[in-house]
Amino acid sequence: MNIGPYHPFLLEPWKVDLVTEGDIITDAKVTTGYVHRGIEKLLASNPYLRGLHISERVCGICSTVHSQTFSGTVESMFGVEVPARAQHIRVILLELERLHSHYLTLGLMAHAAHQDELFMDTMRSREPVMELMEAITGNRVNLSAITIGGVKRDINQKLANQMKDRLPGFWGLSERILAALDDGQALAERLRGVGKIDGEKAIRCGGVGQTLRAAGVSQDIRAIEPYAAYKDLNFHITVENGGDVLARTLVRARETIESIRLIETVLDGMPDGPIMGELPEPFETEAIGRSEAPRGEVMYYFKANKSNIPERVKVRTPTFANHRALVEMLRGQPVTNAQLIIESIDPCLSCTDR
Amino acid sequence: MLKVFRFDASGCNGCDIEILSAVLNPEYGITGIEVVDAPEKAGAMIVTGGGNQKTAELLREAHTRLLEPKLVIAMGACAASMCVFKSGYPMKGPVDSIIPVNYFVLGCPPRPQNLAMAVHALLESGDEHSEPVWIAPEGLRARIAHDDEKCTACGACANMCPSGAIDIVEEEGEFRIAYNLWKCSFCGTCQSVCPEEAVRLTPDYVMQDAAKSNLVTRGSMERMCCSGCGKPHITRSQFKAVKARILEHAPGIAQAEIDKSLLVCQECKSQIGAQANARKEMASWAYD
Repeated sequence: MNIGPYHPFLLEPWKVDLVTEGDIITDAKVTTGYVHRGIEKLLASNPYLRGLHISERVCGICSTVHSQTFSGTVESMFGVEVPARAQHIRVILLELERLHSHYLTLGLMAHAAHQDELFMDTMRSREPVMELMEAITGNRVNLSAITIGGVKRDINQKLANQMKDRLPGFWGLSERILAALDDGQALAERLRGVGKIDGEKAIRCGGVGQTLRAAGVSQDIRAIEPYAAYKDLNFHITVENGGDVLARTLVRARETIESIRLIETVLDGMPDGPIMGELPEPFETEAIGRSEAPRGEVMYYFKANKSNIPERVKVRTPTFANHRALVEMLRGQPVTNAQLIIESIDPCLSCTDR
Repeated sequence: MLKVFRFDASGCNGCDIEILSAVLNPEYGITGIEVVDAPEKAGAMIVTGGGNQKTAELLREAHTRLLEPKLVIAMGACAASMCVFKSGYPMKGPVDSIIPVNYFVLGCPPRPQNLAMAVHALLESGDEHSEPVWIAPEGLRARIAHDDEKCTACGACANMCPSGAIDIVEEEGEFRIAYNLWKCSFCGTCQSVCPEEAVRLTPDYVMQDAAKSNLVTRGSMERMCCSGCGKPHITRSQFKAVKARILEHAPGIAQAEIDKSLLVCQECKSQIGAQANARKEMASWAYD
């Protein structure tokens, strides 16, 4: 049974071929490449400041995390000091992005489980997040706010107040989603036990992000290798033990609450100072940088020479890492569950294909 | 009710989630369309992304399966020009080189209201949507504005533009600059690198047309002529900027002297230098 490359429940073009025995999936084959744009080659043939905007367009949903990982890796490679205020603004942008990405996925998950009321509620209440990002940076999707050495725009008191006013609304939405995922609710019961994977297997398959955290493995790059201002902030890593679609959905829903808390903390304790650091001349070196994208771990590798164009750039994105685990999740499941399972790894094909 | 099929021809996803927002939130003003899941059921198609080796063929096929009137909206800068991915090796676009396009909506991604207005323009419906009803926030990055008075045609913006959207040419004795909005990713790099603050991204988000070549911001900088040879030399703004810098560092210098020296072009200056050297040389012969 083939799904894709263009299919009603896939937001992006990709292909999942399911091998079935009767109603049960025995194996799955994932074909990608429909959104390939040759970005790694483009990054290695453009100057750093141009490449930054190309890397941001790897993915329209998690654009900021790509520009953060790009900038963060280049900064650590050349020893750029980023001012504390810029680091805190980065955390706000990254957490806002996590919020909008998670709400989108949670909405789509509700849609896949035929909970249309929750889907419409989520998609409408998600708009203020986009509007906040637009108010801060000037664009709803590709923020172009993070640059090598700092951020482009400051957050003034008026914007900070505007954000504080909006946060309770997001809190309310997260609570409504969590209430729908409570024991005994229709959505929770539909997702329970679907697409199970245990922690050990998830690690063996190279899973990242919610695939691990929903299977009892506490793994979050924000805590392991803190970037931006995360080392100064206290946050809680959400872990569930179910390993099924419900657990992955719950992890996302709880993470939205954690993101709102993080934004509140940062807004209350924002240090003063400049938002841009000094940029040095490039020299021969190499570096690896990692960040926790909404979907899991993003990794950038850079090899630099003395010119302003990197010699090699490698990007590893979370959805690609989760493909192997996805096949394991699909095995032994009825075909009717395929959409829920595919939705539960929050696939992002523009990241995967690059 | 127009049935619309959404086709992602290797975009970044940004336009696709904006279509989702636009369709699900009535306040953006999209009415009269219904998104369907197959081209056979639809009379119109919204295409995002530039089209690569795999999707170009699929796009052509989807277009043949589309029902009449076969309307196509190219959404976003990628569909119009492939944007920052223009030199990517798998790219086969832009979309209008693969299938005929009726309307271009610009932005990276376009604002949902912009898409709504394009849909209404295409359907020729609803006067209430032809004028923007939504007031964009200050600092929104959309249509580029250019200040001829300040621009020195230094080329920093054209050099740093990630999508190569800026052309500077020399024509009829003046510098002409064109910001091709249909190639623009609205990242704001031109604004941040401009040393004279001559380029600015304004909140005017309504950027749509049936022909993409209409979506250009132009500027022209008149050049002052060399007082020696009479050929076009520096722009007025460059003259002002350099003069201001000289006065800043050497406040005692006479302004007329600066004017005179700045208005002589490089070629004439080197000739003057060469003549002076020759005279010196000849004078030394006379002594011998």
